Amino acid sequence: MAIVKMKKLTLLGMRAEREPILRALQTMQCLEVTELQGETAELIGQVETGHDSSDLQRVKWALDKLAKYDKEKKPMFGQYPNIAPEESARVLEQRQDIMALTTRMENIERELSELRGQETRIRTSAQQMAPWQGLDASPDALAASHTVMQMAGEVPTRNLQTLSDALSPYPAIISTVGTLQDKSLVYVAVHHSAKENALPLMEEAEFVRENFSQLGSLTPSEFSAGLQAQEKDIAARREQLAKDTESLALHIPEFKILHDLLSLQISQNHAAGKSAQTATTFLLEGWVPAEYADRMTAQIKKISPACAIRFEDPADDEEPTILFRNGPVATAFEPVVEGFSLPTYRGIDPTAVMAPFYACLFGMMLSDAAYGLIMAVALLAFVKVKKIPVRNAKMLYMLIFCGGATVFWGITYNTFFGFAPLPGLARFFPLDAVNDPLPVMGLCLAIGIIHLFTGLGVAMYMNIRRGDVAAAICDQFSWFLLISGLIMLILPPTAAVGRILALTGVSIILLFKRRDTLNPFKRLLSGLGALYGMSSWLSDILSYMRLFGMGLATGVIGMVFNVLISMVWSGGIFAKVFAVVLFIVCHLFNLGINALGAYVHSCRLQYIEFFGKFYEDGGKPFRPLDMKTRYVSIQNAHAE
Amino acid sequence: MELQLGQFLALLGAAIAVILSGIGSSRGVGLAGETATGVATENPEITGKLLVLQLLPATQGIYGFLIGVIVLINTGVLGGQMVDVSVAQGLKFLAGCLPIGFVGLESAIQQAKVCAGGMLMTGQHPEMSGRGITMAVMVETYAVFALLISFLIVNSIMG
Repeated sequence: MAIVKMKKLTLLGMRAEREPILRALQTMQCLEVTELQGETAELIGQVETGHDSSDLQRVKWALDKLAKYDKEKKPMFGQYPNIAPEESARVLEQRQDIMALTTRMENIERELSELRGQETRIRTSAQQMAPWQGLDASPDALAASHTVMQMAGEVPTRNLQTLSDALSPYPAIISTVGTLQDKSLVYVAVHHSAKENALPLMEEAEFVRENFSQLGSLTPSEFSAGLQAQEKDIAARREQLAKDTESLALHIPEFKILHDLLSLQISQNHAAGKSAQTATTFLLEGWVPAEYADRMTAQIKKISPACAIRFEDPADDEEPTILFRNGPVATAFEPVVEGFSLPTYRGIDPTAVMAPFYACLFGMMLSDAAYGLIMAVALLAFVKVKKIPVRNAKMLYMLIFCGGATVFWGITYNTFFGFAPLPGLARFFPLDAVNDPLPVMGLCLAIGIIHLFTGLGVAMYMNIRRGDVAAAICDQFSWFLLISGLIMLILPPTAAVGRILALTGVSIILLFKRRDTLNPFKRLLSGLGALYGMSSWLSDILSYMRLFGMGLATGVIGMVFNVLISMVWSGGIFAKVFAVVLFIVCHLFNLGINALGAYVHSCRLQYIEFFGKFYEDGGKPFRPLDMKTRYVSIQNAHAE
Repeated sequence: MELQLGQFLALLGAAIAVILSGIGSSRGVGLAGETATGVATENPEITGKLLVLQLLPATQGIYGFLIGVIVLINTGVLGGQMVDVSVAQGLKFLAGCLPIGFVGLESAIQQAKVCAGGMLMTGQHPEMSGRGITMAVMVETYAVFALLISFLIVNSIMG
């Protein structure tokens, strides 16, 4: 268990050399640049480089647009394609060309949105014209006659007959050309001589004249045909644009490389932005893992022999960021700790202590040897075939270990796909959660107590390391005595010893909980308050009953599936095939849902019960200036 | 064969366990799912974390199902021939089914609310999903306790 020791780097160099130095530091990936504090902070200035983030944004946008043509899968578990320095250099030379492609895509996008606008307008017009298809005259034709006044318009259908009747004495014609909801679309022709009589009648019938301003010399059907032709043109143009975009998919690799090169450059600029500068010098501070200090000095001196480098241990009031370094097994369990909260720099990395417990608790809850075997073997094969190192897929490795623990507990519970295949084993492992639950429950609580005592032990260790032996005895060892004493009290042969232990524990807690005053009342009061912690111990221990509950759930659900499937199995050959499929699906479901349950409940037992005993959290993660990218891995190159 | 009152009570118990916890989980998973879709629209890349949170209220329904099936096994329904169940035994079955039924119903819904909150938190800070899960699992504790008691009662009646 280790939190990596950090040193504070203070680097004073020539401003002209800032870029090459930062580039080298970025390649080393082990410096986290921090904001300057105090008076030097006033000198933090604008970094004037040619790289603003707008190009990066545009390339990113282009890549998003091209994503659907991208045949390559998204890199998973850190398996990025490697890009040699020459390749990077080539892409940088083509930067203007790639940005020109981006501009082309932006133009395409703009045209597409214009086309969308046009299309909407066309659709609206087409919709308006649709009911008028029956009118076989253009507005120009309607206006052409000097003796007859021709009009088209709508009139409520209920008034149509009345209007028609009213017009019949006059030289006028009315004919229906279409309908629109409860209105009739009509063509009306009135001789000029009857105009004065007819118009008021029409107004009374709520006739509304349509003037067809867009149509000109076209009939409605001719106009609609024109719209259709336009729509076809737009569709063709759009297809053409889509093809254009697709043809750009060819350049996706270059886009990706440029994107990553630019993003590296941006993060470098970001680091430079935290440094202070004068006309000729710059000043930079940051955290470096202590072991890299010498190598870093050598690297920087190579680039700039003149600059001043200083490494210091962190001052007492400084909180360096947190980087874990664990063995290959414990590393896999780091995500569990990170999922909760990082420890403080002067605290303790609980990963290594927690790891075996985590696997054990997970195994007890999944508790089916076959499931554990499937998990462990499948995931192991996956990471080995894909050659994924542990640091890129900690979670997968963690589940492999958990699978192993599950095999152990599965054999102990004698459960294999919900069956109990080894009756002989029951003699050695008398754990039968269904038929004889009490011993299993006892075992779960016992494991819980061991887990909690381990947490208490870590707290003791931390107190002793701090030199506070009194706290270790009064706040932790006393509880250890009290709890183990109470447990021994329950068992008759050890009851006498248990009583002594428990009483010793209680008296230490009562008298020494508060050690900064001699006032006996204050001390007793604090002691009594602390003894109330008994209730939290009770709930912590009982909480481990979930080990039994979750283990039982896996076993019984598996058993139930087997009972149901065996009913199907008793049928003919098709039933047997179906039963096999059912068996696979049901057990995969059971594995999935219970592995999830085991994962979340193991986390909870670690976070609440175990960490509650000792953990001091509040650290911030170490985020160095690094070569982390999105699409490719840039090999030891630089963005210029 | 005629249905005995005891048999009916046992079956009623199984039904209650499955119905109540099933209602709870359906509502819970639905409620959590609504939030999940919303958060995933903004942040598609954290969908995996959201699914974990959405699935948490599903377990209550499984617990209820489990107790229901244990009743069916212990009364021989799943063996093909339902055994004789006295009225007293039937009442015990019924009593045993109540904890997971009621606690399952309530805890699934309450857990779903915590899950929904956790999803919003995860949407803002993906690295905090572990904390969101832990908070949701706090609620689950009581469903697990109810499952245990239900199991201990139901499993002790025949035999």
